[in-house]
Amino acid sequence: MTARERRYRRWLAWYPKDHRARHGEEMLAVLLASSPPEQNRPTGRDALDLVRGGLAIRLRRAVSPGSRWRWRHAVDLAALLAPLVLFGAGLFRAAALAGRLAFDQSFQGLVYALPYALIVLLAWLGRRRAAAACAWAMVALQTADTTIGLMPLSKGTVVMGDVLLASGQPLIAVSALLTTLPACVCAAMLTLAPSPSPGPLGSRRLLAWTGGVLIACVVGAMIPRVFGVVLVLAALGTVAVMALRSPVGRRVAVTMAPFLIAAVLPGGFAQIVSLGALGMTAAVVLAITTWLARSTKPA
Amino acid sequence: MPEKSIQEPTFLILTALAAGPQHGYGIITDVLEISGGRVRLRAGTLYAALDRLQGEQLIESDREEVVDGRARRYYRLTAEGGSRLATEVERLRRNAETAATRLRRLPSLRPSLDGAS
Repeated sequence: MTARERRYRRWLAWYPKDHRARHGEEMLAVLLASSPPEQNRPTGRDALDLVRGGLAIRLRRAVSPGSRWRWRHAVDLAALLAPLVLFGAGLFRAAALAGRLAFDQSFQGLVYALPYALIVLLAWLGRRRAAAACAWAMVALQTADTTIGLMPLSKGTVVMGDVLLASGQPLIAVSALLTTLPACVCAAMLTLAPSPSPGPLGSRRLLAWTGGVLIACVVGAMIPRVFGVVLVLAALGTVAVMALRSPVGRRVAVTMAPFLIAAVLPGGFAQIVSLGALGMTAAVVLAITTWLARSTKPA
Repeated sequence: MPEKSIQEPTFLILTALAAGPQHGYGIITDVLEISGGRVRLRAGTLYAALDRLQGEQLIESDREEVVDGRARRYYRLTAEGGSRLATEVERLRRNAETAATRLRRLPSLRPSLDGAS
């Protein structure tokens, strides 16, 4: 293979593997034939066109009727993972607060974390309605709690989780919404999923992975900060890479994106516009993924 | 359900294949010729369109030939593709006729259209 050929072939990586296997050679022939021999690499426009073509083919496959069962698995798995993340994150936060001897707040964190263990369990056991009802009850509880907690504060104070932010805008309602947004999205996911379950991942593997991440987080919280951050990031990175390697995993990532963004949101989002945009995005993603998952018969 | 109109590049690809089976580069040169040098398909656009058209069963693989050590696949129009193209041709013809008829009634344009016909 000449260097020129290799430089052209590299761009075919944007295409799905099976498409590359079937059409790679002829595409390369077309590319080489339609560019002048002194041209050593694709022009910018040709490269852009290759990328666009590859993405178009991938997108079409991602939503094609033949791949809907994957969406179903992904949406079911994501609905189980969302309360699991809330449980794990709540537990982690409570442990961190206890470590700082803030036992009051730690206890409150625990009150919010533990019900999610029940929700995960209910969903896992196939009690979808019960799980969803509990998740909505948690949203109501958290909203009431946040609102009551914010009432006595003077206008223009914004609270994010356990962080107090000062702001020039009267944003109590917004910050209450923002605090409950992850719980809201989680409840919506449980309500919309056809039947939350570990799916192709399998209960055992899901348990193993959850255990691994939890251990990494706990150990990460105990060892010196720099190493802790590296360890936690390494654990989450491994999970992400493993997930993104499988077609169902990639769909899980898409389904969970709004939830994860809402869960790790920076304080800059405490503005009505960005919050509205995030809420809208979450609703749209939920609607599309639910439609994709439900427009198929169970396998 | 009324069928959606076909985008021009797709229309030209189907038109190219209406003349008989062709391979990728053959389609590109043919489309360039049919469109009077106006539409120069790039590889990415062409293969995304071929992938979609095969998915919709409007075209299919015809045969493979090895040229210069490289597999070259020919594509052909399916019966469904042929009838889809015919429907689109009819639609475009009706639109063009309506437009031409109305333009002929416009006094300001009469000379130029008469001159063209």
